[in-house]
Amino acid sequence: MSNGSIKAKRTPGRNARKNAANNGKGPSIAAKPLIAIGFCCALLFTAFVAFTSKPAATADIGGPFTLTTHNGGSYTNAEMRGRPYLVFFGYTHCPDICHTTLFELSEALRALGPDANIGALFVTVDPERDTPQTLKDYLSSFDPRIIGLTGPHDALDPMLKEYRIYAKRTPGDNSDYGVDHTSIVYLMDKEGKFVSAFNVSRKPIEAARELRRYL
Amino acid sequence: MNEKQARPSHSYRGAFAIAAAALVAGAGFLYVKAGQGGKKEHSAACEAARATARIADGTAKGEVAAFAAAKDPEPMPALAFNGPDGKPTTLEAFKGKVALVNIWATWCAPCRAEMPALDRLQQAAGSDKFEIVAINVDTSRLDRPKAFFEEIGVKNLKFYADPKGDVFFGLRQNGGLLGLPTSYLIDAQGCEIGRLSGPAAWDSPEALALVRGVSGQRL
Repeated sequence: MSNGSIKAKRTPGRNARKNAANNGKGPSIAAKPLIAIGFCCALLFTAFVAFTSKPAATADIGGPFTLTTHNGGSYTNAEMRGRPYLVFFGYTHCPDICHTTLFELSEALRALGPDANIGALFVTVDPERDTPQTLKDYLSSFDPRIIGLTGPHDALDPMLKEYRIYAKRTPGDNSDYGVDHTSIVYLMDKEGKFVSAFNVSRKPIEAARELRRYL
Repeated sequence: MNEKQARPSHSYRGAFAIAAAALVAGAGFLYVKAGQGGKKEHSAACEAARATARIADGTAKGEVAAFAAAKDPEPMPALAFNGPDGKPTTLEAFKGKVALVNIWATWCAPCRAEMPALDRLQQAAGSDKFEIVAINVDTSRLDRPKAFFEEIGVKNLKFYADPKGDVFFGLRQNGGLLGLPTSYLIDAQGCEIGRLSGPAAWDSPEALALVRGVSGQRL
């Protein structure tokens, strides 16, 4: 720090101002890495917040659809108005995760009690095999509020897109193949707006407690 | 002027460094303490299971290669369900024999598919030293599970069920259950030797070798 003032004496004039500036930087030279780290952290944090809060900016997930229920009737998104509902995508031939999630979802609804005004949609990603009748047989093991939906690809695919569902058939012949797909359970509010991804893999009473807040 | 500015920044840095070091040390201490405490407690209860699990790990091949032997065997979580007579029983009641606890439901296609093989394994290996405890976890349409047993002509398996759903969620929370079917191989002391997530050819020679190896029966 005294170095600067010695230099200033030797070189007056133009350099004097430069050294004065250097003097000002004295303490900040040591603090420079810290400031840089701090700046980087702030930048990263801002990027993280901006990136992660995007999906929470609602209305991004969900949208209109017209599909066929497991009872054979037509069903649109408008029919869920006035009650919160859960949306889940899967298929009846799914080897493991689908039915486990569906079972958990069903138990959460059961824990809410039979009179709770809440809906649930099980949308197939395998309409070739999941006919209304297949869905009906399958869903008879679960809570009666769960509505199975199927339909032709031109009706189903836009809904998968609206809910950002990835679904891809894995190799296999026509009767024995799998469908890789996103297994998120979505919670939608009474207005049909996306609330959050819903965690069903916990005790049904706990899941029910959270659902009750949206009734 | 420069020195006046430098001093506070130095002391802030010093304080920050000390706080950070204290935090790291504290976290490290808690981590080590928690790790040791948990491990010591469990390994004492299931000491004998360690050797058994190593044998099982070496035996599980071919059709049962998906069997995951426990690295540090622990007691199974307490499970309460109904016995063949419909009366309440517990997993605890099976202590004294090796058990293959199979969690299944009628709405689970791969569970239904492996049930005949489980029935054959019970026929081949069932004894006072080994039993397959297939627990049905259907919670509605309760006529279905028994009807399914009749439909496929089960001869050797007994019918255990938990229509309340507690077994499923208990294992989901504390038993590493990811999906159905899942089968747990449990030693005579009630310690988990390992588990197989998903279906398997339980009537295969490899499956027979696995359960016989664990239950100490000669091949």
